[in-house]
Amino acid sequence: MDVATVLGRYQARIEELDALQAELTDADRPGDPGAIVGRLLEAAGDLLRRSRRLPVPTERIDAALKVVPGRALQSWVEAVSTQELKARLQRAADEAVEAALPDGPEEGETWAAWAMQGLYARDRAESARCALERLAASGRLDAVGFHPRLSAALEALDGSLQSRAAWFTALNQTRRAEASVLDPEHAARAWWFSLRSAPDDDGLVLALGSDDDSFPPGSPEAAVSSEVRRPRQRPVSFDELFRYDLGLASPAEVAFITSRQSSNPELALALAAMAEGERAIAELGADTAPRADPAPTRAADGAVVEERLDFKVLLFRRAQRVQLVVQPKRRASFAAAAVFLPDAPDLSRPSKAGEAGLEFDLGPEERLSRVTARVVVSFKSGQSSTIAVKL
Amino acid sequence: MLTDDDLFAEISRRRTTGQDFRQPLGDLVQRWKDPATTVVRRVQGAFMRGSPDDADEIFQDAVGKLMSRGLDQFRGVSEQMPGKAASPKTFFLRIVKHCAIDRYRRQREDLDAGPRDGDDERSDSPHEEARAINEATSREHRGEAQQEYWAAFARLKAEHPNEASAWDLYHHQDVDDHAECARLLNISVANSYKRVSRAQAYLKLYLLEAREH
Repeated sequence: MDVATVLGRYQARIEELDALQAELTDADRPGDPGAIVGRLLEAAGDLLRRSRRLPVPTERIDAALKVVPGRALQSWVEAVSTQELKARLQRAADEAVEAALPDGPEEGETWAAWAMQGLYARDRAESARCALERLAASGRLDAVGFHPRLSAALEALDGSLQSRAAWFTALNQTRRAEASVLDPEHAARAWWFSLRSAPDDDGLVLALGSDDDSFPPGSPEAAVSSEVRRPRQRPVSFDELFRYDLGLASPAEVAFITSRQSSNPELALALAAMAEGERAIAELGADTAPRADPAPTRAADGAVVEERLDFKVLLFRRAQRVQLVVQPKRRASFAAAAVFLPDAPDLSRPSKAGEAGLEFDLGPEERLSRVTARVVVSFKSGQSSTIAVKL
Repeated sequence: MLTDDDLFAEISRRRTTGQDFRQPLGDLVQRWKDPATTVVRRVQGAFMRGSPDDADEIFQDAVGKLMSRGLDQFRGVSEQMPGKAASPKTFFLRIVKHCAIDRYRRQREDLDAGPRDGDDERSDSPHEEARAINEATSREHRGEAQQEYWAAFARLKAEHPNEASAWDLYHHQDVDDHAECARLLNISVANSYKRVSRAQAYLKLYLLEAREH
């Protein structure tokens, strides 16, 4: 994305600010205006932080901020979740790595667009913080109370995530364009756009993913590269041996154990002990008939497109419609799932709880040819996983 | 008195509905304690290692594993191998067997990792002492780097299991032929290249992040 396109996007914030101001002053507007306040603060902050490239009279911005109702401001502050923002940025970091090393060139662009959404989310929060600061400086007592709280929360978030700037280097062209339209003092603060955004770093993740040893000697990248590439073997784990014994090992695990057996006397001894233990179990007369009822699953009806420790994603094509189903495997850790299509990258498709899990109807099959859906699964730990599913 | 199967069904029901299932699980595994001890002794015999006192600890370890992971895996066995799956008792005894194997494997590895030839020799000259200190420091750093690497690999397995499987084959298991990796993982050769690349990038990024913190 070039600088002119970026500027055009922020230029539109001027009209948006006026429209939001009008909406807030409309006495007949129903419901809680907290969300409108959030959008107004973001628009105002976007303009305040880009004042050199987008000169807007500050009186116009102050006039818009002045109409923010106290209760609505409190409602917005209470709804702000920096934990959600943190999870979104962590996901964006993964998406940016996928953008650098995609399975195919088209997917790279899709991953990059998704990753940028995460950086934009952090930037909008910064704009809201900046607008809140201005409101506090104008003497609004409620804003004087809220601003330090939000600032501290964002500072803590940045402290834990700033070290991931290297992950975002595949997005550098757009990041540089974004940083260039910010006022210098704000650009320096906006690590999500500016840190490690120099052209020298554009191919960093690509280089980290290769066997190329072109990093300057003594650099942190050279050190970790040599550590990761050092030849090493690992022992067969408890879980691998257990799955092997139960006949549940993957072909890769079977090949691993079989190849190690001949060269590793310790493993050979463990396998002999495994056989001896099994003879003991047989002699004890424990029966081998199945006892547990299989868990209800509809995996057989649809294609399993992804299987992780905590969930499965199934793809169904029925009655010329495409449906994705996210099936939790460990309900205790599963929190939520969302599915996004490229035409609305921030709006999850509608879902309903079905027999097999959360069902997302994506629409008619003919409209989804060559489309990649983004599945985001969130866990109660606050972590989340993103999966790209080619439809 | 409830049968093993009835009791196991009750445990599964409570677990699914989020109720406390520790009491019926305790009752059930207590019934299997003697056979578990027999299995432990046979494994000890195969390893020519261990004492009768180990059986209690191994039993407790197995109960812990059954609670934390085994109940899920047991259902998985039934799903994936209908007709070949074991009864709950057999399944538990297999966990016991593997806990015993794991214990004696670890003991042998600990012994193998003992002092090397000459480590215990005393060196009197300052030059020899300095060299000994350097070697000890270097061993320590190598140990830290090893830990750091395996922690990064554990994170890769948790966050990007597909990439971790490909890297594990390619780098830890010497399957450095992408065609073979692809065959074992049931993916395309191009996909194998990509997964290994992403795994390598993630591992390096994890280490960079850890070192920066």
